[in-house]
Amino acid sequence: MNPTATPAGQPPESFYVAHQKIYAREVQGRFARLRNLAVVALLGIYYVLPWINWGGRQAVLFDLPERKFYVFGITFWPQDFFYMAWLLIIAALSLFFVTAIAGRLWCGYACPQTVWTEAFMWMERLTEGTHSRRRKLDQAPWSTEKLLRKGAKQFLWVGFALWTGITFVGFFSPARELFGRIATFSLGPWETFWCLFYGFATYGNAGFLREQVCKYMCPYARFQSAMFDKDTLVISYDAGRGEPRGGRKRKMDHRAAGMGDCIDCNMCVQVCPTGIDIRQGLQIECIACAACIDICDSVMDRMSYDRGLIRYTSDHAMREKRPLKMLRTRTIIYGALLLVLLAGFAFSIGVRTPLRLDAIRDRNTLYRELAGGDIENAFSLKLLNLDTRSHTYVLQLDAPEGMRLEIDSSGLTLESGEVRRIPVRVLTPRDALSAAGIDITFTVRAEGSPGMEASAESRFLGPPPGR
Amino acid sequence: MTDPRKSGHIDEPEGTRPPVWRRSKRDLANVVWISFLTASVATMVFFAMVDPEVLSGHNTLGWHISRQTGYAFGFFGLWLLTGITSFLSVYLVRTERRARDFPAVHGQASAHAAPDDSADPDRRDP
Repeated sequence: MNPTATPAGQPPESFYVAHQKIYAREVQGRFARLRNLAVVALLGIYYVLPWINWGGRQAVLFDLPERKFYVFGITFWPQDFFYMAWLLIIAALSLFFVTAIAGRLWCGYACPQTVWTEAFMWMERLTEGTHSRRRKLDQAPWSTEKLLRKGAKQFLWVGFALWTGITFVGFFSPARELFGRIATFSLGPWETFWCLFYGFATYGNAGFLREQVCKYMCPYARFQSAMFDKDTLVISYDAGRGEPRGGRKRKMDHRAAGMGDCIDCNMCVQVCPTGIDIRQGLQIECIACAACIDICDSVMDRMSYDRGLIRYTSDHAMREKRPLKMLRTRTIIYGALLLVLLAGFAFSIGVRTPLRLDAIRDRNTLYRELAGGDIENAFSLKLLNLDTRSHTYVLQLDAPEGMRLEIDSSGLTLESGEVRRIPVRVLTPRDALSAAGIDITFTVRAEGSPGMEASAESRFLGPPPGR
Repeated sequence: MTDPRKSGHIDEPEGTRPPVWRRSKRDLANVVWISFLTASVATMVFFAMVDPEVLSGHNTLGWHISRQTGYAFGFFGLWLLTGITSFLSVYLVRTERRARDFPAVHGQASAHAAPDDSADPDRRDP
């Protein structure tokens, strides 16, 4: 029996038909538990994180009005954009790596689209019941019960979406103060707008669009197959074992009757959130949620057949009946690259000093010859205190004997986040000059904070010696 | 749970597979969604480099806006830009003349060209 066959007498499936709602059957099993766990953990992180404080301030806050990002103990400035770019590359490569090994694991368990859709479907089940009751409710004429059930669902959905929007803004504007402003109805216009905007997007994507986003709009769904090979774990129906499929009595010896293990109960189609039939092979719509594995395993148990008629396996493993091969050129390269990037990231965060120094030469004059026989170069130093507290700094020059540093400003105390331009002069007796250009290094140290130092290299210019 | 065979067949009408979205709807979804994603990334990169307060005031633009307004305008401005780009790309692809419309150039083309380009490549015959 073909589940996609159109009823007799009707024209074949046409494009010009409005989207029909999928009433996916509820499913229980190993992978459903795993996904629920992922949903709870990921949503938990999302909703709880803005409320956690760290060192007297919100632990994770991307403070856009102040242009500072706080991630636990570390403060990032716009100058640290490099770290974010690096992190995005790591994220992309991780996705490639995971896809090469286990296919669309991201789609089935971690994608916000899946996670929020699960949460919305849970609320739908709570108010409208199981899939068959939902279908009946939709077909039934309007009644008090229908109104109450639909109203309750919308109430939960809209409330949850709004809360999601508020939490989202709470990552960018301190969450506790934000909530205080909401409670007193004194939210700023842009904050209000973004709460509603993100809430609306959540409602639209998770309540209304759902798997349509994966099927039509997601770029990853289209290009993920480029990371696939014949050894990638995919969810497959074991056609060799299942076919020829067909209904049968539970106790009958189906092998003797020339039948495969598939009892053609169609449960795998009913549980599929994207409405495909996995028995037709790997399809682009499959988001690898493994609902069909869970339901088929339960059917196999009931029939006292072996589990795994639908299972995670690779094309090679299935066809050639050999064990899975995780270590392959592709996965080794992705893995090694990922490791290098991660190690580099951790190292660079570890040695990062919240202090920056730039030295810019005075462009108007190369050098000046002073009356006393000294050669003078002017520099403009730019000092940035990127730490979360103020510091007093000491400036020092690393240069050949005889060269000295003169600073106009005396106290070098900078507040957190302060940027200061410091005009300095470097002088040397003409006789001490060994070449026309000498490399020099300015170093700045924070008083009382050993190891917190930054340096900037530049060049001292003078007349050629012996002239 | 009852016998899966029974519950499987009895309350499930055939043809639960939803029909494919109309092409215009798919195009619209793609234009809006992809331009949204790229605009989000572009906004992030742009405002990491540029402080909206520097752009405002009498420095450059001769108006004064807050940072939050600057971010919002920047995002929607970029979304408009990526949206227009995305729309024009789709528009050009969709209104392209098909191979069979060029008999002089592709004399043999009609023989192996798809009979109708508007057929959906993702479509599976029922």
